Amino acid sequence: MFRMAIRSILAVKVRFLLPLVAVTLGVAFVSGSLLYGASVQATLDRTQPDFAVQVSPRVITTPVPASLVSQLRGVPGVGEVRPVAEGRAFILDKNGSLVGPPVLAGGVNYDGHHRLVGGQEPASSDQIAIDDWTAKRTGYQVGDQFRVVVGGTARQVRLVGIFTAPDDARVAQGGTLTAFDEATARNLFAKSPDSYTAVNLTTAPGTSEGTLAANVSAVLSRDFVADTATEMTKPGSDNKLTEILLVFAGVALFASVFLVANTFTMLSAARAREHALLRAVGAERRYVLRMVLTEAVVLGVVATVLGYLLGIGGAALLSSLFSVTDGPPVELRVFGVGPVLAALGVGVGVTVLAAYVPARRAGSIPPIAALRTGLPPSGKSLRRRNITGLVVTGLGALATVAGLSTQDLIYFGAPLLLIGLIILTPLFGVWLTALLRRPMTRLAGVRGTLAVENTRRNPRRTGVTASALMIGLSICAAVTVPIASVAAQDAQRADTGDRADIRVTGIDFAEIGPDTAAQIAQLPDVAAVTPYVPVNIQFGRDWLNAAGVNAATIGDFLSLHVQAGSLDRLADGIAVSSTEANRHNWTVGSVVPGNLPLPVVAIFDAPDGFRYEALVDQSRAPAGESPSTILVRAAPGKTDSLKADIQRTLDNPTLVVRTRAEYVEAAGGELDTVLNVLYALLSISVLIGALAVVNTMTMSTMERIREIGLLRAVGLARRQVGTILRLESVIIAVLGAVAGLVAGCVVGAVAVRSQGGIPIVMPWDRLGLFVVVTAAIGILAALWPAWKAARIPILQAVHTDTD
Amino acid sequence: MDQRTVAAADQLGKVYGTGQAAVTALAGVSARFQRGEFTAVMGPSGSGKSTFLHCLAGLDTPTSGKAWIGGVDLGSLTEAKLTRLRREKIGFVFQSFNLLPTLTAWENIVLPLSLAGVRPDTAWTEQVIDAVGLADRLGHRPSELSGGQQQRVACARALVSRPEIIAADEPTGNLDSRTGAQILGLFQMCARQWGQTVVMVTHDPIAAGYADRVLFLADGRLVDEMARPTADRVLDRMRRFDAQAVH
Repeated sequence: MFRMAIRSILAVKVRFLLPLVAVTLGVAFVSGSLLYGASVQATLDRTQPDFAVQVSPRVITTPVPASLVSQLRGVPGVGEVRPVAEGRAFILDKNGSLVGPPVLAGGVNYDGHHRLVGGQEPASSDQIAIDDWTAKRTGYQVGDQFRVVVGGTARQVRLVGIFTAPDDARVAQGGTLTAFDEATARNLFAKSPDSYTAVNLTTAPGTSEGTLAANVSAVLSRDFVADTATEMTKPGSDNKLTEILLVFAGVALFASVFLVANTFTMLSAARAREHALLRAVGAERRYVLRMVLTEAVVLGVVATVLGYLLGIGGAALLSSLFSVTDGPPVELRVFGVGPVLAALGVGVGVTVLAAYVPARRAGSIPPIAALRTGLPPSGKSLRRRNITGLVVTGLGALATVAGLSTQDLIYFGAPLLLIGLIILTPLFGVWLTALLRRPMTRLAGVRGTLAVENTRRNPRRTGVTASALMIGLSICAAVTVPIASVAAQDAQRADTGDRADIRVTGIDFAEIGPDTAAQIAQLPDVAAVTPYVPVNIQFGRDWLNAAGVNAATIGDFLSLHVQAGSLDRLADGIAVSSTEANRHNWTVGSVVPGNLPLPVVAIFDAPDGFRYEALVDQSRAPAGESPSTILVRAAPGKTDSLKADIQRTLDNPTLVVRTRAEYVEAAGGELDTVLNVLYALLSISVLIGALAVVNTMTMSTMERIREIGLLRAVGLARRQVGTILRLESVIIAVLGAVAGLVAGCVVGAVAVRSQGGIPIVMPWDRLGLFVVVTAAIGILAALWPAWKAARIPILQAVHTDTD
Repeated sequence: MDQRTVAAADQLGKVYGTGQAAVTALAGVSARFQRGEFTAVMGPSGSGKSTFLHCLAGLDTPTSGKAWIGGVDLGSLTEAKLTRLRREKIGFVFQSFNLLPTLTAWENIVLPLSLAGVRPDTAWTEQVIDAVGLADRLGHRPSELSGGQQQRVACARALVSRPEIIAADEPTGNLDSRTGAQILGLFQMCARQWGQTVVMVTHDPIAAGYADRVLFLADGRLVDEMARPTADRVLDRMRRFDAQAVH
């Protein structure tokens, strides 16, 4: 039977090409994701921490005193006790740019466990040692001078040593390690110069990690926690990445199911007489069923092999796309039992699953059909299908809308809604084309009529083809709507908060130095400067999210509506928002309790987007606390030159200096990267959808050779054959796009609404672009079928079976 | 070519394949077709009668000789011009699969005009539809029409653009004798009353009996011609072919 299956596949190999490509892409996506995930995991597994238990403060602001270190030395089962002072240190390369991802820029105290491979250990505040991978990346050698940003300030340092740290997770993932001598590290990173940030412990021989952690916990105060190394290296974000990739791979595979199903349906229809003949000479239904399924298995196996190979390439691509390769190269694992089994299961499973219904239909063909001639049979009534579809869509819509109040329901409702709509696509196709017949006829004459009618003649096929495109596009819309809404809100918030001309912020994970505001204030053309230093005021179980500001200039930045009191006296007290004042029954003169007891001097109405509930003078902020933002007002007309001045003065690539227009735009655009990554992932699904259109167009062209010949005989020009097919394929593509976008927008809008407070913003420009892109896909999808159709000899129409 | 000749073949030849595998389907056939003349082309299977019609009507390209329609040498035309000529100067009726299943009878009839982007001449179209007797079936799809009705729609389509010549390839081959007679009667009427030139390939002596003259082809050559044929005379002539074939 396998030989027969292979022979029959080879006989119509062109027709199996596109389903093969689709399944191959899906398999490649799955195996690529798994291989990449496994490689990353293997890299991370290699980086076991060099301690068994780490003691760290519960709240990051609590110092780890030397007394705790000596206390820990006495704990039973403890081996080595290593106090550490760690934080972030950003290395600047020879061009003044950051090295490695900011989240992984580590600063540490140099101690005995760092193995030097060159130079010596750092001994003073202007000396550092760095890891060998960073040295290799930057080209820095012992003796070089360069800058390192710590605590928001760029420091000039000299490289005195290079050490190897293959076990450090930060280095393994592409980060950097900068080691200072202990005194400097404690100065820079610890909360007070005589303290540390954490204590790393190893076990004494014969003591387990867990026992040590328990012993340590017994002596710790409530301010500290003990974590085992195993707990700290639990699968992190990279496994999440693999999961996300697999979700998108699943979407791509789902789309390819439709392509495969369509192919087998069309082939079964084309070979109906062949199957009927088999039945007439005595083959059982099961035999025909098995024959078709065997073809599916062969196709699936071939797709699996090709897909797996492609997946290795995909994994290599992924590891070059994501930050991990900024580290020492990830060793790509090209073989894994899990990925191979998954690829095989997915490749063969999807193909067989998709082929099952067409195969059953092929088996159920009556032997008498062998004697019938003429047109391919038209489909069954859509009645039952439409009723099912309406019920499923209805349930899905209900569950989705119910997601407004119970958010989890959306995960159930959205897929159900999508499946319901997929079942209904033939009906939508019939509706859409009924609407289109007249305008298309007016637009393109009888060619338009023919294109519309061709899509109507087999609504199921049109529907299934459109569905393949619909899946990718619905998810595009479902992610675009929430992201556009959030982005619009971000942009709006950034715009309404204050009247600053220039705003200085740190890049993610970086700080602004405490003296930065003072530095900026000294520049010419500065009209006013204020920092926002986060100040947490706690009283009982409640707290106020306050900002330490420059009391003298804050009035220039904020157009706060002051209900009572005056901001002029802010230096002597605290201003609170009217919401908080009402909540706590504060009036001007009341004293806010807690760790920072101050009299209320003003009560203000916070504008939309103003994040702070209270304002105090910056001098009230804890010493050394970094501002989250610095606002600057420039002398009239000097904004741009002042921005350049600030950049030059600070000379720190971890700080971002933006004018008002720039930061409003940036706030709205922050999620663009996310969106683009999602689009890239979804493009595979959309590609498979496009292939489905090509596939259907090619196969239906082959079925209609005689019709095309007839049209040519009565005067249709060769080029015009292409026009009909292009219109037809654009109709199918747009059907898929519109159905998918509508469904996706509904799901996206519900997701936004269920979050509450975020106004829904429909990204019309992007949605319009999606429709244009699918229309273009439709035109491209018709290229090959049209090329083939134009070459059909006219006489094919004239030749009849009896000739 | 004189004024009354609307189509002509001059030593039309068609060879399929090359070298050893070459098969001669048509070995130099010349004929003229006058305005308003209903010509039947007959011959045994493999005589080249269909190939002759296809080459004459621009569906197939001859390997030698020339074909003219309305004074135009088909061999001199580009693909685009040939398409246009088929649309405007020739009406086709095939044995089967004449109609597009997705279009209604009306849309099928005016298809050549629609393709040309021309509005149908209402009076003429009505006259044609009356003649084929389909006025009440115009909104139907081919699948809702009988075989005879389908073939009459095809005839109407062939007539509607007032072509120089109607090329019919076994138009009654799939019909029973009564519906076949309707089609043949229609061709006869078109030729006599409207001056429509019709060339019809058939293997049925009764069908040929409706024509004004019959061309007999055998082995790719024109072997005989009969004016004012009757079914009996045609049958007699055809029997002689069979006798030759037995030799």
